[in-house]
Amino acid sequence: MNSNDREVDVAVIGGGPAGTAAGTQLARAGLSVLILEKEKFPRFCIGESLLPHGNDILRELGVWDQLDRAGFLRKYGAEFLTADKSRLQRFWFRHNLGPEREHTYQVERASFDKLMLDHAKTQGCEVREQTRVLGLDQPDTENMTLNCESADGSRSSVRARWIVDASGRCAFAGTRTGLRKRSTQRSRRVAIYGHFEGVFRNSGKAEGHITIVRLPECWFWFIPLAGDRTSVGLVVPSERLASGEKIGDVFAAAVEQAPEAADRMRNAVPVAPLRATGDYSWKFSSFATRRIVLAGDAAGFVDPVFSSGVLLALKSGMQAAKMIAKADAAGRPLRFFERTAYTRGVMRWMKQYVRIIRMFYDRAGFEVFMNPVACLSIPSSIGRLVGGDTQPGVADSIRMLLFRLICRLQRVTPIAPAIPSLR
Amino acid sequence: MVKVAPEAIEEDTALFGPDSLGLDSLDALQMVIAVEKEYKVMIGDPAAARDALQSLSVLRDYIERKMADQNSVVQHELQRSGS
Repeated sequence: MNSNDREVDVAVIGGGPAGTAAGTQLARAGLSVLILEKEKFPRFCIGESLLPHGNDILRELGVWDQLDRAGFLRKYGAEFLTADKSRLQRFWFRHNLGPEREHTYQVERASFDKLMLDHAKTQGCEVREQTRVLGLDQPDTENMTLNCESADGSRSSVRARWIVDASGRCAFAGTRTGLRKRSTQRSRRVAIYGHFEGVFRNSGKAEGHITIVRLPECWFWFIPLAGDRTSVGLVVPSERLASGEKIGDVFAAAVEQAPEAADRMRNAVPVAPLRATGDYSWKFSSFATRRIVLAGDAAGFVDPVFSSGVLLALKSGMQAAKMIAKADAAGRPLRFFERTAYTRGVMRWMKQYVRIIRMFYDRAGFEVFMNPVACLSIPSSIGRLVGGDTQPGVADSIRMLLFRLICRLQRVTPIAPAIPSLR
Repeated sequence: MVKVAPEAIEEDTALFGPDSLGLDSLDALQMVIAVEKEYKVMIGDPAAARDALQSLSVLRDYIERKMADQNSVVQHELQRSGS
């Protein structure tokens, strides 16, 4: 036995939002928690936009008050624009979600994730950074053993009764326990992104709005961060990169094509080289085994257009922790119905987004989205979804169903004004 | 005629449609004309007008950006005639 070897109740793989939410909650429930993080925080991560429905979880975790003090930029809503500058739809959370959720934050993930990880420590979690998990022995038993490697190359093992896999897109446990991976989008897309300075900012309270700029085949995100930094990303069909084109060239060409983006980027200076992530939008067939629970991106990844990533990570991390704490208190593994309920629950949240995302990518759907039919309170239902309401009531569900119907109709007969630049 | 205290109109207050200030098409026309007169910014087609007049916040950005565009065109022409 090595001196670094440990035995804990719960091993959490990954120190991002899903891992720290789960870890914090479990430590509070009285379990011993070890968070294993492969990087040294603060580190770069994409996905800076939060949604107001995550506020409740951040409050429950006890970090909400720290966010304002940490100086993150307040986000009061979201806006969607066409690349040719012809159309603009600006949403305000306040209108549909009430005063408790009138704003959330745009967070540079390096600082946000560090804040969350530090908070997890104060709540009783043990944290090991720069520790890579290489393998898992005896999966799904009470004696699961994780083989880890530190930055200096030294090996150690961690024995745990429970594993929360919050390893993000690495999807450590999912790939090792042989869960089936399914794609949730028909076409493959690639994201090219980076941080810039000097990007155009909206005035007033809309400074913190996320801006989505839509082209016929692709779209940009502009996420303003505190200071003068802006996260800018481009999502394009994978075919564009297949021919071996450089990501910088693809990005520059797309900016050129989109006057709205070009204007915003006119004085932009990159802070670091561009990065790219491909082949996203997939999920595992199940998110929990008897003793391993998948949370956040490790369970499934949803297209980022509605900024759902961190919200889903926090929600699933929290849910996973509550389920584990309950089973642990009773001294038993997760029951079949608990596992399916968890999987179904998280999948339902994802599905809400997958549906509206599909509509976003559909030309007719986007035209209706930019001109939501004012009757039946459909716009406010969309507003709630844009704000991250993953558990809509019956009325909202019916409205969204109607909305999708209208989108279908739009393909045949114009209901909302056409957007010529997308046709 | 809408009777609202000006302080009650916030930058994100919706001007038209349900749950809004309740302005009508005539108000919209007056606003388009006022913007054109005051800022020399034309709001072209009806769809653009509907978008630009969502709220004062949007209208402000709309006008500022149009003015910046016009300035850059003017500067461009000045540079061309200067060279």
